[in-house]
Amino acid sequence: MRGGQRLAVWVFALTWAALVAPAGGAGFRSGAFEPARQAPDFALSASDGTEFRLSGTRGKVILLAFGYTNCPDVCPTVLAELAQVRARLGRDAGRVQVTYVSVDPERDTAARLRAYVQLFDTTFVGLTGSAAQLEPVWKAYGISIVRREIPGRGPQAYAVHHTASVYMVDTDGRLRVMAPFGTPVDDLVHDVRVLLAAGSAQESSIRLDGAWVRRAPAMPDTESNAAAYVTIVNGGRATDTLLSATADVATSVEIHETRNMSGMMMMERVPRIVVPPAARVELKPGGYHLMLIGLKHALGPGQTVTLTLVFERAGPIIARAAVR
Amino acid sequence: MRRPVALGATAVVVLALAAAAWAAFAPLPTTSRELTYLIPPGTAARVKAGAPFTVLPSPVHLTLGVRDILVLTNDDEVIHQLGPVILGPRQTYRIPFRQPGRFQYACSLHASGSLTLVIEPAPTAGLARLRWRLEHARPLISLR
Repeated sequence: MRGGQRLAVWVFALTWAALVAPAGGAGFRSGAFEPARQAPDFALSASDGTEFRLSGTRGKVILLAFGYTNCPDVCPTVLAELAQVRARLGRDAGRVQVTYVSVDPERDTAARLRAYVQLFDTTFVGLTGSAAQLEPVWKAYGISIVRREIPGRGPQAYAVHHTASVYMVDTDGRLRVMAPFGTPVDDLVHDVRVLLAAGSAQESSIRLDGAWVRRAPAMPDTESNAAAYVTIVNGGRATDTLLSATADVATSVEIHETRNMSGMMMMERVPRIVVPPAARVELKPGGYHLMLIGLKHALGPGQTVTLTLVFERAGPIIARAAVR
Repeated sequence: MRRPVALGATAVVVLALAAAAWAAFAPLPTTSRELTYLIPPGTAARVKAGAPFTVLPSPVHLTLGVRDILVLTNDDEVIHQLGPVILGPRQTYRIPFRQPGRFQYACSLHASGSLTLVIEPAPTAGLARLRWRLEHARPLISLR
């Protein structure tokens, strides 16, 4: 083997080494903020006549864009792309809300804005108001707006040059993404899915079914107790934990478990009940139950007890329990 | 006497050709594709004292496949706005580009009133890549 050939082999080896080098990281495909901070909140009148407050939309991914109804080119493109994003999301589209903030309060009335955004998707919400109401929103999101008159066509003939980025607010109300105009629909869909998946992972969806309380007489001179039963259904994608409970008819409530210790029934206090995702835990006679301690009055059939169960993720959830 | 000279000349030619071939065909370095601009701590205070704000040039040049991720980091204690990007204290905005193009944003920090991003296509194997390497070799040399 001659020197030149040997060198060629080296060149080849180096080339392949460079080829398999990793390129870039995972995560968002469009521009993302790190760490994510709370999105600037605002309240504006929506095109359907209600008030829209950004902080009132937790649990949904908000796609926020800015534009105006007389916009000839950029705005229809953005809205058509956002409609495509929702169409591509299929069933998940219900957890995404597109909101469109006007940059032209002079011409964009609520009615006009509604007719316009609904041309693209009937679920889109247009937001408008006075210039004084809108300016702080534009400023908070870094939207620059330049009005250019169209000469010789009257005072109502003007174009509004504006930033046409799409902002993504996650299910916890944090501003996560700013995708510049021209970001491919594929990338927008990808990033919305990232946000929806993160939202679902944290989401707890606890339902309480068939709550009931065993009747209990009032015991003079001594404390009287009663047992309450309920089925806890976790329909979310995260484990949740029952931490404590209260009842309107008792001074305190403890979580207990009845155990059969070789024929002897033992009742033990347990600190918590863990409910895995997509699972149910039944509180029933002979197993887990809630011990209502220190009843304020006797419990008889026909009465209803209000139970509040406090979960680690889902927080307090109320159940009405019939006395049997 | 003639043989060693011929051998040496051949070796030089082979080496030069190999280097050119490497420069034209070897993949471009991809260890870090990020182009980072940092707002250092105390920037707002210095600007208030009359110092010019020179974090971001315009245009900003990026090349697909080589340096195509723009990273803007605010290490200052106050909010800063770079073009359309509002950054809170110690916050970063990271944007990968996947298509060539020229983007223009309003930016009050630049004398022209706008910030331009130029995304160049990936230098393809062959002459384009050789040219790219030659253009980008200079800053490397001047650093030494």
